[in-house]
Parts: sequence; C-alpha cells; structure tokens
Amino acid sequence: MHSDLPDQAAPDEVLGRLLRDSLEAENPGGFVARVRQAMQQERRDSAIEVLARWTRPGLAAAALVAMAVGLWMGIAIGRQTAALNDDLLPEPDLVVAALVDSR
Amino acid sequence: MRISQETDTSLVTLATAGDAEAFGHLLERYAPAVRRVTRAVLENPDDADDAAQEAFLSAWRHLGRYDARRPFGPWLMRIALNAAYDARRRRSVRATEPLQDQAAAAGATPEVVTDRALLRDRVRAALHELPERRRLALVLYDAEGYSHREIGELLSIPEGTVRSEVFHARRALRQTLKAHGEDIDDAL
Repeated sequence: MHSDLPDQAAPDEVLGRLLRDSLEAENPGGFVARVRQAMQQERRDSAIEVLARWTRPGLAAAALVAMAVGLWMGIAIGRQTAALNDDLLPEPDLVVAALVDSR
Repeated sequence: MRISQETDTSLVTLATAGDAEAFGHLLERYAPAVRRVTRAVLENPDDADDAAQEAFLSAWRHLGRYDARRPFGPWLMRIALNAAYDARRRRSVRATEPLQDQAAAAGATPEVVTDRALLRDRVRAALHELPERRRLALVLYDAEGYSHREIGELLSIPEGTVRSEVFHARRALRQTLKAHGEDIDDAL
C-alpha cells in the first residue's frame, strides 16, 4: 500500500496552506472572546446549580436539626421543671408533722 | 516562562486545577485548527463555529479525563469532530446556501471578489465534493499536520486506509480545481 502512495512522506506544504487558507474562519479574536464568555457563564451556572442542588436537602437538614434541638430543649426544660417542683415540695414527714401540729 | 509559552501538558495541568487563564491559552492555540476542522465537516461557518465552541466547552468540562501522557491536540480534535458530527445530526433542515452557489454569486460580482476569495470558495466546494472521510483525512494530514496513525485513531480507520484516503483526496482535489482552471501548485 505504501509503495502505491509515494508522495506521503510528509504533508504537502502548498496544498496544506491552500486548505488552511480556504477553511480559515474569520475574526479569531471574536471567537476566542465568545468561548471565554461561554466558559465564564458556564462556571456561574454551575456554581448556582451546586447551590440549588444543596438548598433543598440543606433546608431539610436544617429543619431536622431545629426539630431535634427543639425536642431536646423541651425534654431538658421538662426535666428541669420536674426537678424544681420536687425541690419546692416539702418532705412527706414534714407535711405529716405540720398536720399533727395544726391539730 | 510566560504562560503562553508553556507546553500543552503544563497548561492542561494548570487548567485542570481550575486555572481558566491556562485553558484560555490552549483555546487561543487550538482555535484556528479546531475551527478549520469543524468547517471541514460542516459547510456553514456559523454551524462550524458553534460546534468548535461546544468542543472547547466540552474539553473544559472533561479535562479530568485527558491522559497527560498523550498529546493534547488529537484528544481535542476528537472532541471537535464529535461536536461537529453531533451538530450535523441536530441541525434541522435549515436552508443552507450551497457553496457552489456562493462561488457562482461571487463570480457574478467580480469587482468585489478577489481572485483569492474565489479560489478559497472553489477549494471549499471541491473539498465538499469529497466523501467526508477522505476530506477529513486530507485536511488533518496536509492542513493540520497530524500523522497517519493519529488520523487513523481520530477517524477509527486503519493507518493504511488513511494513506489511501489522502492519496485519493489529493488527486481528486487537484483534478477538480484543474477543471476550474486552477492549478494548486501555482495557486499560492
């Protein structure tokens, strides 16, 4: 196959230049600027997307945490109140003694 | 060393770490070739630029998949070819003015069209008469300087087939242009 195609040791410089010239697109700077802009837009979009992706589970997690904290605080306050009530109530034998004295 | 003089590999390393400026240098370096190759697939220059842009964005998104032991150019060119093929698949039956008509229109107003512009139109028209694989083999080999092996990998064909395609493409292009009174060797 190679012997049938003897002129391919290297690219054809003249033809190559003609092809590049023919396929060359206009305004190279404009194209580069356009792609850079699209890259920036994509980075912004992906940052927003990441935030959006985290927002819903984040809110759910925050709600769960708030509920857990509320529950814990409720239990803690309940226990404290019970303990306080216990402290305020007089000992039973004191109550009995007081009743006897009052008679 | 200025960043613009960095090798492809070091620019890719920087870009993979999030350095958009490094990728910007790769973009400037490869934009002309990528635009030419997408235009070799898609006749319409706007479609070709859309595909070229999509190729760069896709490369930017998937830089992590690039194997730094291999040359960057063929990796990017593969993405560019896929973007061009996708664009062609997606393209609606939009009316696209055939290149031959453009050349004819250009010929109708010779006062505003230089000989060089007419030659470019003729070369593009002749290129698009070639089967796509033949056209791409020629453009990638003679215009972009890729090796037969690299082109074989890009087009998923054996190296020998690439040689054959380049040979036939050169011959067909010369013949077509000669029929229009253009001799490639005298063209530039």
